[in-house]
Amino acid sequence: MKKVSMAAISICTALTVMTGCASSTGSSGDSGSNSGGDINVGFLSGLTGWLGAFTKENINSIIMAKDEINAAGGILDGKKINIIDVDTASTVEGSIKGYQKLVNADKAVVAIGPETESMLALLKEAPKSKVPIMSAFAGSTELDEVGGNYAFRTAASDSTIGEVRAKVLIESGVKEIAVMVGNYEGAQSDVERFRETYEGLGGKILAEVTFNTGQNTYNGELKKIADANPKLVYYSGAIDTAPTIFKSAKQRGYDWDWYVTPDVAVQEFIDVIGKDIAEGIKTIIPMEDENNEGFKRFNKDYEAKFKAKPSGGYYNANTYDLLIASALAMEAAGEASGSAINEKIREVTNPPGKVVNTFEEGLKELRAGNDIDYQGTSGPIDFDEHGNVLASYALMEVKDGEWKQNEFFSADFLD
Amino acid sequence: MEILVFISGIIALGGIYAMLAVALNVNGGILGLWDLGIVGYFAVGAYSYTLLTIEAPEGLGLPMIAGVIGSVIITGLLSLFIGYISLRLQSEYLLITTFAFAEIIRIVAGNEEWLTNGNIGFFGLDKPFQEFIPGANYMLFFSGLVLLTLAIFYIFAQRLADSPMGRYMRAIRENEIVTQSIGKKIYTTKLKVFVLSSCMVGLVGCFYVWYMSIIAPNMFTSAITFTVWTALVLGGIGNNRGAVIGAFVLILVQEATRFIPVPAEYSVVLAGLRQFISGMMLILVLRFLPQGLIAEKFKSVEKLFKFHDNSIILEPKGVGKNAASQGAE
Repeated sequence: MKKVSMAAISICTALTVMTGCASSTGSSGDSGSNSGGDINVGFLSGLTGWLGAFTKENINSIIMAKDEINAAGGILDGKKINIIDVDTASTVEGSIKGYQKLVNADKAVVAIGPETESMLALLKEAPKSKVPIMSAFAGSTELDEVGGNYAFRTAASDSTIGEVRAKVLIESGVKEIAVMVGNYEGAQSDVERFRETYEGLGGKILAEVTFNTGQNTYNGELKKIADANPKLVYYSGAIDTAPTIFKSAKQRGYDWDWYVTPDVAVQEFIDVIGKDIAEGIKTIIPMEDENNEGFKRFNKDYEAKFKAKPSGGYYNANTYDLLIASALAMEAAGEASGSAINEKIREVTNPPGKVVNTFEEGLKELRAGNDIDYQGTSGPIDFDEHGNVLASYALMEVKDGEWKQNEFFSADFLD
Repeated sequence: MEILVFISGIIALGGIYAMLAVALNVNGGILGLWDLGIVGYFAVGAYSYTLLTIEAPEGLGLPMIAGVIGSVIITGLLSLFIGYISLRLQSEYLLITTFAFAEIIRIVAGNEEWLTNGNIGFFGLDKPFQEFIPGANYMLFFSGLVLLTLAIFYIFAQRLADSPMGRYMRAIRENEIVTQSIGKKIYTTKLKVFVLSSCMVGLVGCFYVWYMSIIAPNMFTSAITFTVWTALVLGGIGNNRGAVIGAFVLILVQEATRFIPVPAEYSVVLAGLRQFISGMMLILVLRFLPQGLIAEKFKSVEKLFKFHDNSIILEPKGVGKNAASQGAE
């Protein structure tokens, strides 16, 4: 009998907790939100799990975009944007659950943030639900030709980054390298096109070593690389394996030059492997020119707002641009809905049209009845038929414990 | 309407986990095998279904029903192999072995690109009857399909638990040596149940593919095994109803925490707390209800044969008397 009553009590408690949470649905979302008329925008990404390192800053960026839109008086005659964040725990299952919540429970108009696999999983679902999925960092080559209808990304495709990296290396006289690649889709996709282009341009890959995540030691893998005796090693892996690999390489006295994948071009990378070891490590990332006005403004505003520099300038500006572009698209369509965004996003970001650099300018021009061409903080963001953008690139190097831009390559570098 | 679609989405996922929990209960709960390899059979089921049904050149392009049957058979054969070589091991040794097999399966799926398309896997996979049910309402139908299958799973597992075979399985769990001493074949029984349970898991793999519409090796990490075990422990090991309730409670609580209103600025902190809540729930249940939300109950032999009129329910293991030895009296 005691057990039965205990069971009853615990079930009741669980139910109370659940209903208590559920009943507060109405006010979910943002602290400063206005009542009625709000437009819910979903931020669907891994706040926990392996994406966690990026999303902290991505959330800040999207909040910045939201504040800017709301400060300008909102869209569609004063409707304010409301951010609803959904943690996917960096899993596909989490993304599907989260997307369903955004679409059905929150009535969000767009879901910003999924990574490659979640984008692929939601590709068919998005046109049905009429809520676009937009990624700031899904770089996979798998997405090169499948998006465009309710699926967009401001991330540069790995295929073009790979080509740029190969070309830069060859042009700087590096004809032989070794590659360390993590055993997961993102890392392999990153290396694939690079290998192709690099070998096509006459480069030679001395050794390619695939490593699994979560090992205690990578000495075996490093030994294999050392046997090939390269001058330069390219690391395509995640941040969690970086400390072990880079520290043991240093301890064992391997004095290779390192290039790393854009995925680890964040401050945290330098923090976890240590300033001394990180010194001189290079990467090529899709990035707007540091001298670009929009990008400068983004960095300045971000620093003023969050009292910290945005890392590497990589996914943050891209995330920010997605929300601004979506808001402009809704304004242009005169309707707050996913299909409005899907229909108009190209129109407000691609030429022809009057070039605008900020949300406020864009809003003014749209209200005046003009066609606009929004220039993002992460680049000109012109979406092609498959929802991709062309990006410009920068060679970054760690100097004094920070990523610094070394050289800049505009979008036509590959032509 | 939309909220209904949302709820049915959660029910579908909860149902999938509940089916896994029922299948796990058959070998982990009633038979007492310490099996940490459930995600492995799950992956095999999902992959075999996908490879059988998707169009050539990657797959064979068979109809869905053939894919489902095929996935059950393939999972069964593979688990027969795994069971054959590992079931002579006891408790924690079996646990490590099955865990290792699950990891091997995931790693093979990630590396054998010619077969599984490596870490990319396949995406945009079809769902059953999707052409008849348009748009977002599909989830309503799908959750119904899941619940129907779950009901079949439950009835099947319940009948198995109540059968002589069920008593026999419990006897093995409670005291293997005593059971062996009365002339029962321990190893063969374990192997049979192990394969049966794995086949059930393999079938659920098809549902998971339908739910996800994508298949990739990193969907099949040990997190699934632990979630299912957590659900089973929460609900009550050995009790099919407990397995179902545990899975639903776990999924619902995790989803319900998403509705706690927080400013986006603090969302990163809250996201971490969500996992803390499931962990805390497990600890509380283990502390106050060591047998789970619903403790294991089974019909006693005395009752069946009307030996006594007053003893309906035997105390399960760990509570003073030994259930199996009492049942054998």
